[in-house]
Amino acid sequence: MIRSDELDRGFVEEILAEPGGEHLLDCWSCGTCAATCLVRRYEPSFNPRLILHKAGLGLREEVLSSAEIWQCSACDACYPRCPKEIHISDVMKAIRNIAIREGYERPGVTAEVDVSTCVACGICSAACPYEAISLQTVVWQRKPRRAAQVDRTLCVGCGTCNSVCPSSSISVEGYTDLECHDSLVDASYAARPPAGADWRGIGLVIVCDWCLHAASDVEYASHPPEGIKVINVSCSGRVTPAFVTTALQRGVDSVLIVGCKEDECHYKQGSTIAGGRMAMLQSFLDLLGVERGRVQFARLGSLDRGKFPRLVDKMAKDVRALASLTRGN
Amino acid sequence: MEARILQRDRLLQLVDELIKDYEVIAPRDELSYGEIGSSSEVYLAEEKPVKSLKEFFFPDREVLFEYLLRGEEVKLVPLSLPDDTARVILCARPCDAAALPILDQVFAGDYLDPSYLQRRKSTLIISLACQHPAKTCFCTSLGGSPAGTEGSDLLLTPLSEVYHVQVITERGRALVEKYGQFFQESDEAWERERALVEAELRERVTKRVDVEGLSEALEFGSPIWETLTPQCVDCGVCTFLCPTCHCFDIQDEGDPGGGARIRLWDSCAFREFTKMNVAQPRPTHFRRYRQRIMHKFRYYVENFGKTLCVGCGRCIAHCPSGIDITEVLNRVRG
Amino acid sequence: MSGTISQPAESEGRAVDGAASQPQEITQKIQEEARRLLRDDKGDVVIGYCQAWDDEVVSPCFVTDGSQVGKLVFNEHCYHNLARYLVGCEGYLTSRFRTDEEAPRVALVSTPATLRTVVGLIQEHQFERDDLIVLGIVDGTPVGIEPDVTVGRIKVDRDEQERVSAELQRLEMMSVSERWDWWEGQFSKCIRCYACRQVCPFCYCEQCIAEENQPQWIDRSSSPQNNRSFHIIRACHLIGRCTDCGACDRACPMNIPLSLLYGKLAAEVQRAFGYVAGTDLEATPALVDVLASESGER
Repeated sequence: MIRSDELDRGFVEEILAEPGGEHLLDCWSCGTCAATCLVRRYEPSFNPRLILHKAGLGLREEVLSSAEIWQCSACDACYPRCPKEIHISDVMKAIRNIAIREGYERPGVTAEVDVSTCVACGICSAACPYEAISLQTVVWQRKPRRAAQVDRTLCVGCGTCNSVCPSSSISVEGYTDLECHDSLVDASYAARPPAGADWRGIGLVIVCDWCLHAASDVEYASHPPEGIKVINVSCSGRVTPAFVTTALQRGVDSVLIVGCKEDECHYKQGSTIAGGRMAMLQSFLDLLGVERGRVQFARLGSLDRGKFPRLVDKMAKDVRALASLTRGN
Repeated sequence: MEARILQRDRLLQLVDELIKDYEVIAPRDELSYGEIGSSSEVYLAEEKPVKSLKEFFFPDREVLFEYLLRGEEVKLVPLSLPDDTARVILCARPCDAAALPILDQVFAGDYLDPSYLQRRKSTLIISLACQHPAKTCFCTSLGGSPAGTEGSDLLLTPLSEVYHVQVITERGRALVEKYGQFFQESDEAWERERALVEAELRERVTKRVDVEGLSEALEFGSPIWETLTPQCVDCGVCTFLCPTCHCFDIQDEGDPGGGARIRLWDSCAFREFTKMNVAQPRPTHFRRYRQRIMHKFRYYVENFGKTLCVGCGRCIAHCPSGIDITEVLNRVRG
Repeated sequence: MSGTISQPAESEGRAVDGAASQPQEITQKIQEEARRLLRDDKGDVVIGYCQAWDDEVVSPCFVTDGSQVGKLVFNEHCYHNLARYLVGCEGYLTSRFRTDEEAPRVALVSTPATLRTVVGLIQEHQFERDDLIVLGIVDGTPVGIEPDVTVGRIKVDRDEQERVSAELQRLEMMSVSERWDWWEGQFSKCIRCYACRQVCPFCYCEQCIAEENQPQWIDRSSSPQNNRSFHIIRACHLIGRCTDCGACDRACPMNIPLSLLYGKLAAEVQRAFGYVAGTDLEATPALVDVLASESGER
């Protein structure tokens, strides 16, 4: 139960005055945003409608101290559907700015920079969908040097920066290079048939956490057909060509990378980068004499239930033909 | 000098006979020596192969042992020595052959490297004198010659009508006796011609460097190193093509089921070569270049009495930055 | 933009007229500019080319004194991309080891490919335009900066471009497995000397992925598959950055045709993203900020 003395109209005014928060009170609490929300499919405790409603009531303490205000990833799937045309991620941002001023911090992992190896090329900064990275002068071993620095209040931990950095100087815990590499190596090895059995082809699926949930095919991913292993990444944009060469070099006959539809990417542009990167890699591999079917990129959207099982089943068949061409390790 | 004569037109026939009994390695193309299946595969050109003979004794990638992982258990599969099939290296460059006694100091001295020794034992080297030393060659400054015998079992020197065959070792003699039908006795006239040819070939080596007192003249603390070679990009071309350079790294390559421990070529020129987790004694280029020169022309001399260089000139010919080590040595001496 | 020739820049109030086209004229121009810069204390070092151990070999050289200016040359053997010496942990403009506070004032003899490289390095924040005196040699192709002084004009090497195109077409005609075998032959030759990487101006990372062992993405030993991985990953790290200068191809001691790989890369980047590296200082490099640029998918 909410008591009337918990309601702080000043909080509402503060949000309305904060850039991005102007349209807070336009909200009818219809719940269309919550129904669309991609984060919510994965994390049911996140409810944009509820946050806006509580904010609109003036429940200052409850809203500012919550973890939920940080969970919106600004994918903007809700924005085009909101009947009042509220840019909800902007409202979230406004609330976050107030929280920061009050001394709250973003919970969860954010990108971290290894200043000793960063060469301040700025590629991560340009690639970051949230403009959370900037080049700053820092002090390292008593000398000033330029390096990328991450604004923790803006970073959502998507890992796009990690995937574009040529010197492996920025990473997000949970999907670091070491963790991804170990995952790839273990999966490539685990996909192999037992000693003595025929090699009927093995495949590796690297799938983004979000698109599986969007297409409601999470269950299938935990029980792929024989010879196929599935590993997860935070975003298809996290997948680098090194992931692919690692798998291929360890005997994997086919690699399938699966990400969200471009306008449904949880991290705004990760899926777009993945598409561009994979297209380049494929044409490169084609030049080097790697069959087109060996490395593929596919997209899953919220209307694609059943597509993931079909993709993987097809891969399980194709991989046999590829295996007979396999040139081995 | 013990010698024979081989008629020019019989060389290839001899090669085909050798192929029946040995694994025969010869220059295969402009890039490297390699195993040949017939005499028609021998590639003889003015330029020496880009790669030296080093890889046939000290391979660029060598499996030391394999390991299998079964749960908590680790099973080691020990080194299997290289096949002891007898090998003949044919038409080796005298500088490449001369490098082997130098490498022996490291791999067959205090430390006995089993696979290196096996390869040395099972390989006979027939060198061919260089008629057209390159502009970059400087073997004569290092005690060598286009018709040098160091490190070879037999040396073929082309004369006007025949090959002079110098028998250098017992093993070399055994081979000419085994294939006696190809060889004739030499005589004073041939010997005189051979001496003249060698003198002529030595004259064709135009690049010279004075190594007299060089070792003592090289000073670690001299400021000259700092501005000596700013154009060097710290790649490994000079070290990998060099017949005497022998630095290596050891790496494990494998997966959860097991793998192999590999010895592979490494280079003191690489930035990470001396990087350790607490220190990096050679973080700058000049320190690495100084190390290269000091190792080859001073430390090795002090340790083993030999210069770690045979003057083949590959480092000059293939340096992406056009650096000439003899010019550098001259400048260092002042 | 073909046919436009960049106008020589005004320099210190004195217009540089009539840029040269013969190697000897370009050489003379370079020497004149170098002498002037050093004499008038407008520069500390001129990075250019000088004759090496043979008429057909040049070395990059670093002239700090007027008396050495006569060493500088320019000819058809000047393939090195001299921008390489500006960057990296010992780069003239970015050195980590400088004992004094200021970077030296550098004048760089820049071929057309080097000019495009300089654009890319500025886009990557390694230095600013004003930090460099550009002694440019132009060929009429688009470049994203103006030289401070145009010291020469040369013709685009159409023969080389056609040779690479023809070779790529020949490869395309092959079956997939023939292509694989052909490249396997090439990668078997690779000795992992890293000359290609070391001469490349964009390979200025102080921790190359090839040297990383936590995790080890690329095994160090020389085997066709390890080598293939190295070359694929290096090329992918250069997407949208490589200006196809060909220095890597020329540096390779084993004659591996790297121009084919990087020529293909440049062509694909242009086709997929409409982007040519180094032609526009304000442009966003391909595959970096995709929200600001075209999507790359077919």
